[in-house]
Amino acid sequence: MRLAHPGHLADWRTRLREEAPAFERTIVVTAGTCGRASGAMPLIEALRSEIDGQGFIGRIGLLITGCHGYCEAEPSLVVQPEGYFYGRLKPSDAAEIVAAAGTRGRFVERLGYKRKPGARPVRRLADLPFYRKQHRRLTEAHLGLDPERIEDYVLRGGYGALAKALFEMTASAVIEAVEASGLRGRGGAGFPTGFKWRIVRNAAGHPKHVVGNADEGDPGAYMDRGLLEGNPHAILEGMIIGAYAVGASEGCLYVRAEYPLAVANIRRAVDQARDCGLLGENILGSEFHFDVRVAQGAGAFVSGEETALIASIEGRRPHPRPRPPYPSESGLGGRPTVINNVETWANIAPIIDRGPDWFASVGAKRSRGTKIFSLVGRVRRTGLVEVPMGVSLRDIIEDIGGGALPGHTLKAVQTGGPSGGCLPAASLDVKVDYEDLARAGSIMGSGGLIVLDDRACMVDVARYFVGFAAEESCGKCAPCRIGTRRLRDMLDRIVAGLAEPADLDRLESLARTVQAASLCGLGRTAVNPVLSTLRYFCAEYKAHIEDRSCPAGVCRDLLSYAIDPGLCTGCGLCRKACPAGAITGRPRSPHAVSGERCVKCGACADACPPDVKAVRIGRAADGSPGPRRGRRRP
Amino acid sequence: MKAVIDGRVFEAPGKTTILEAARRLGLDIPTLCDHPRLEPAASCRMCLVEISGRRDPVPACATVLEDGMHVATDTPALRELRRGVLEMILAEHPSACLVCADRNACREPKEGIRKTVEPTGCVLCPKDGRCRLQDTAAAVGLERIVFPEAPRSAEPRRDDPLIDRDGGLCILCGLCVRVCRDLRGASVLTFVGRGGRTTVGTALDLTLLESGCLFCGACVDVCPTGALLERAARHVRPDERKPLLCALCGEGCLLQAEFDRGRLLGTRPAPGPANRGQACVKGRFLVADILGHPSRLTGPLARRDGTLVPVSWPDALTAAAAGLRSSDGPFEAVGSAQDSCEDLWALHELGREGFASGRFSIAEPPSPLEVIRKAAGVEAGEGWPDVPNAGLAAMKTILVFDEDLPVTAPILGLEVHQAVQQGARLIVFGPGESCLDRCAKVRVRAGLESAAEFLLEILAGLARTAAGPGHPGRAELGPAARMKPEESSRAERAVFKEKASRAAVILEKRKPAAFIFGPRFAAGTQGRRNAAALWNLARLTGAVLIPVAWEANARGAQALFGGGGKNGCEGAPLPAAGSLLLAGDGPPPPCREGAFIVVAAAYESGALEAADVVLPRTLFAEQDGTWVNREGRIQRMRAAVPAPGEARPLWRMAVDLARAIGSGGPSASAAGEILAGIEKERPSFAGASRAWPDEKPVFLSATAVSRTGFASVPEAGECSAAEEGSRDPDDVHGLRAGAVLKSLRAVRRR
Repeated sequence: MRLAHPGHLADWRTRLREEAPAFERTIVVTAGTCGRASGAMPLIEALRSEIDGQGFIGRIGLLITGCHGYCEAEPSLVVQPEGYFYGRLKPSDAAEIVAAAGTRGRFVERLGYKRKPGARPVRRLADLPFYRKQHRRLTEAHLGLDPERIEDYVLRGGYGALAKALFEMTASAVIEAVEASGLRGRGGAGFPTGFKWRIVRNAAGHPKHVVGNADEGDPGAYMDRGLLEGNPHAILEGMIIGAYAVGASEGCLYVRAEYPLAVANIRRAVDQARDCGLLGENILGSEFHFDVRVAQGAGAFVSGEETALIASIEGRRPHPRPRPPYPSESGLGGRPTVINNVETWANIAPIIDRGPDWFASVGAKRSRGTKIFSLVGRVRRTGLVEVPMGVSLRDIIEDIGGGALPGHTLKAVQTGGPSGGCLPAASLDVKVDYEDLARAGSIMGSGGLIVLDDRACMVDVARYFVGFAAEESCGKCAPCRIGTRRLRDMLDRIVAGLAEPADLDRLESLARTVQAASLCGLGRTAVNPVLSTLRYFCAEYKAHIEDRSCPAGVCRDLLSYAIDPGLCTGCGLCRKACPAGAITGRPRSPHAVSGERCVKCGACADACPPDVKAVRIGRAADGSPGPRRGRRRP
Repeated sequence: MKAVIDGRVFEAPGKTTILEAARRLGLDIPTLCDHPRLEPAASCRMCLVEISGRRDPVPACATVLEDGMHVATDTPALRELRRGVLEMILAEHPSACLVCADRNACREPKEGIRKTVEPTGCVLCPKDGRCRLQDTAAAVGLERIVFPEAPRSAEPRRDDPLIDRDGGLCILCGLCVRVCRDLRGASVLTFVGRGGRTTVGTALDLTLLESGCLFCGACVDVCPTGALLERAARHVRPDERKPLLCALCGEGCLLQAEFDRGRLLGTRPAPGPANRGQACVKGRFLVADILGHPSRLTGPLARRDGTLVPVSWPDALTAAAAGLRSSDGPFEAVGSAQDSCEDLWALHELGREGFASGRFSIAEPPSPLEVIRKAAGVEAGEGWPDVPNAGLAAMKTILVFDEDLPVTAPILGLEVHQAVQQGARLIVFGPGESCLDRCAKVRVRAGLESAAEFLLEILAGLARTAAGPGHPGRAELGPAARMKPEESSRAERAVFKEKASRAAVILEKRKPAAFIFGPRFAAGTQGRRNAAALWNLARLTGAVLIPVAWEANARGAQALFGGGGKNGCEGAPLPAAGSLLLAGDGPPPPCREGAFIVVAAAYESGALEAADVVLPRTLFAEQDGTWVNREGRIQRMRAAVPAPGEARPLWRMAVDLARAIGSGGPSASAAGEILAGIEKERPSFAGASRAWPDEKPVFLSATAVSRTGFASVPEAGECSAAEEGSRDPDDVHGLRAGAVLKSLRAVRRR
């Protein structure tokens, strides 16, 4: 099927609509990486054999899609057209679901989502608390199309925006539309996309390039993966339109190699688009030539930085280089290059198709449109969340995510991954908007939201993120390479109870030096977790340093374990569980922990029966640091 | 463009980085990773400066100064930042030499328990006192380091010849990696690992030798610390430095000789006009060994009762003069293209005027440029304009014939690599492997006997498309191109033709072009044919000719005597000589039975067996002299290194011999007097006496070539046999210096 004329696309769509099989019901199984990891594939097999075995072939269709966001409930499915949602399924549930779907679309009460045990289940997907407050523009399509079939995308109006851009709009009109929409880069920095395109369009040099950045390395963030797995053609269409707008003839999609399913889907999509004449020479019969290749990263976080990404595509070590010159003037191969995050690219086709006003109809004042977040951590419902810009963090965490887990309280939220900052629970009313988040001491980043509750030690969290940056620093510039390691060493000392009060000032001044002197964004923002926790949770640092205690009970070296003789029943479970042989005591008489031998693993506390709870965890009674393992004294 | 830096106005046309501008204003911004010939990396973060109106400090090395900018290079905040960054760097680097309280006292030589005076020095670091990091720490004013020391634990690697690597001293400035990759084109050193575990190493952690290192030493010279160090120069502190002109090949590199109490420690490249701070393994590591070789001759020898015995200079001169005077038959003086202009000229004078039937010749075969001049029918005194090394960057196409440039002409090799990096297309022709192969657009693997075929194929391709009078005809295109049909298959010929047509397309589209060829190209039976074809192609494309010279003064010898070979007696058949003065190390010319032979040599060698008198001679660095390098650049240099024993310069021997014989001939008391004589007699040497490296450059002058037509290309096989290039380009005045290098390269190829 080669489309050599814009009319061919419409004809094709009409034909696809006519030829579409008329199922009574369609069972939509979400099988992104998250679904597959939770067992979607056996479920699909079971559903397929049940449809066959119960004789519903031709009446019940099976659609396998990418992730729809509610990863918490995977493996899950939706029965259309009713929109009945079932989550956390087992293959053995397939028979019941197929049977119910076959009999006038009955709902299986047993498998429905319940807010709390014993409550009436919520039937429809749209009524689920997770989805009710979302505004799904990009991710909505994921439930309706098979990412392996270009036909499904075209059937839903796909590549219509491309035809419109190529045949009804000039290149500058496309840029004007993107500018008018107010779209800003979704990769984190929030640079106005239309403006970036205009710079590249006006820059000298040929051939120009467009690059899709899907090197998503933030721990706990997977927005790009969701898009690539769920709707790869939307990204591709955006890139083709962008290439037309800036006058580029070559494109590259850089996907991290840790996303095999995303790589496979986007590769297949590129091949399909090329076979259909949507890539290559004379796209849709126009005078416009453009092609895309898919490049894979080799597992370096720094490759997401645009100059390092260019180096990596060119086959060099991903070292960032100083800017200017910006890639929009001298990028891939020294040519003007547009680099946008894949989420930005996915927004392009709807802007062209429905117009900039539609796009700008939601959002905050300076941040328009919707943004996908990956909501993870200590929250009741996790997954990919798409909301209009400008909603508050509280809306996302409490209304969509359901708030803290039972029995715990929300403590902080880390936005923007290792480059972002920790905002305290008291700041949850801050709006998700590039400027507001920056003012609060964090960043929008690419959209990772990690929720922390009272069990998190903020010093330990800062230490984790700084350690991540230290490991992932490319090693080129001294402040990032050495500074992050020294920061981690200092935080190591703090959590080990070895720090002194002056260390707090040293920590901050070192962090400020790294921030000011680093070469690229990785180093400049790597200190944000430290600076933001210092700003909002200074008391916790002081507790570690001055009182040598960890209020959250996380930092092992600051803990002490003791057994309350009044509560201990002498059951001996803790003695058996202790790996260090630190617990002594005779059966049926109170046991005791030897501080000398205790390695503070917590096994005794876990082993102690919940109705006894005799193990007391507290800070070291004498304030001494206690025994160290493998750490040097100063 | 006008900007203000630290309150001082800077004005300059064109692009300037803030660092360059500040340096020109005399402001000192500390740096650890900048290099004048490399793109800025901005990785050390020491040169951060503030620009008013910008929130964050920017690296001065990588930021272009813009009109109206206000730059501050030395504010309290910047000082704090620099100190902070340097502290971080020093947290990973041994810093006893900077912060130890006893550091000054311990540098004094002390009476040790062994009853010998020994410098106690900072025993840790082999580069103490020559370290850029120490200088930077002093400039920044760092006195203590707050961080606990966390040295980069790495075992020093000593498994390579010449160079030691100690990762523990590395600060990852990246200069070595960049100079190796971007300037030298070797790409041997690279970064390994990431984050705090980043190190500088080689692919697969091989030794440098196995990774293809040519041991140019550029990495050692840029290393700010002792992480990369010449093994022979550890813990040394030179007390004297002198300029020295390397004459181990035709590049004419300016070096800096380092001495400790008069002893030559070693040499390192200096920013000379030809080499601009670069050198090769010979100039960087081997000069001291070559000059101080144990087989150097230090006193004259004369044959008494069949054996050579040491004699005094007057006795040796008397014996030589007597022998030369009394022998019958013509006298022949043989020089070498490695010798200085003064040496050659004095020998030439001795042969021409000291004897009734005397002559002078040069041991090496004629220079390739001379072969082309003859093939093209260019008049004597005429020549083509020379291309200085810096001019190669403007070339869009470069065609190289069978020269492994990084080995035979290292400076030209790196300039070619630079040009390729800037977009020039490289075409490499030759049978062997070359370091340049990997950046060649067209690589023709064929022997030089097919070079003319290749050139004619290109010519035919260009002639088909080119129109107008400047168009070679049938005769100029030569006999139909054929590539040894009996030896090559049809497929091979097709590939050959296809490559020639690709080369033709490149040559047609991308001008200017440069053709690089060496002695082998013009040697042998095919030399004239190759030369004529090359000349025709150069005529058609307007390409410039760049001959590679293996000998230090090949261009000078050619300008003085019209090339090498038997120049003194061109045309006449050579009668066997009755007496010889051998100063060149090629095969001796034919001589009569019982001829009297005087050998002027620097080393003990087989040539001494036939000698009646042996006179010890000085080498390049030990005498005043003038050399003309591959570019045609005339370079005068003073003796830098004391001569061993009683060795004398060749020109002085010629003068002394002429006086002892009592006939005419050279007379001078200084090399400069001979040079003045050359200037008078050879117009191409105009201005040679002003040709000091620090003066305005002086090139061989020539009138423009008047001949405009194409040369007729002879049939294959009809040329007369010429001498093969028999000399090893790595050998020096008979010393098998090349053997060391050969073994290195043999390991590399394996």
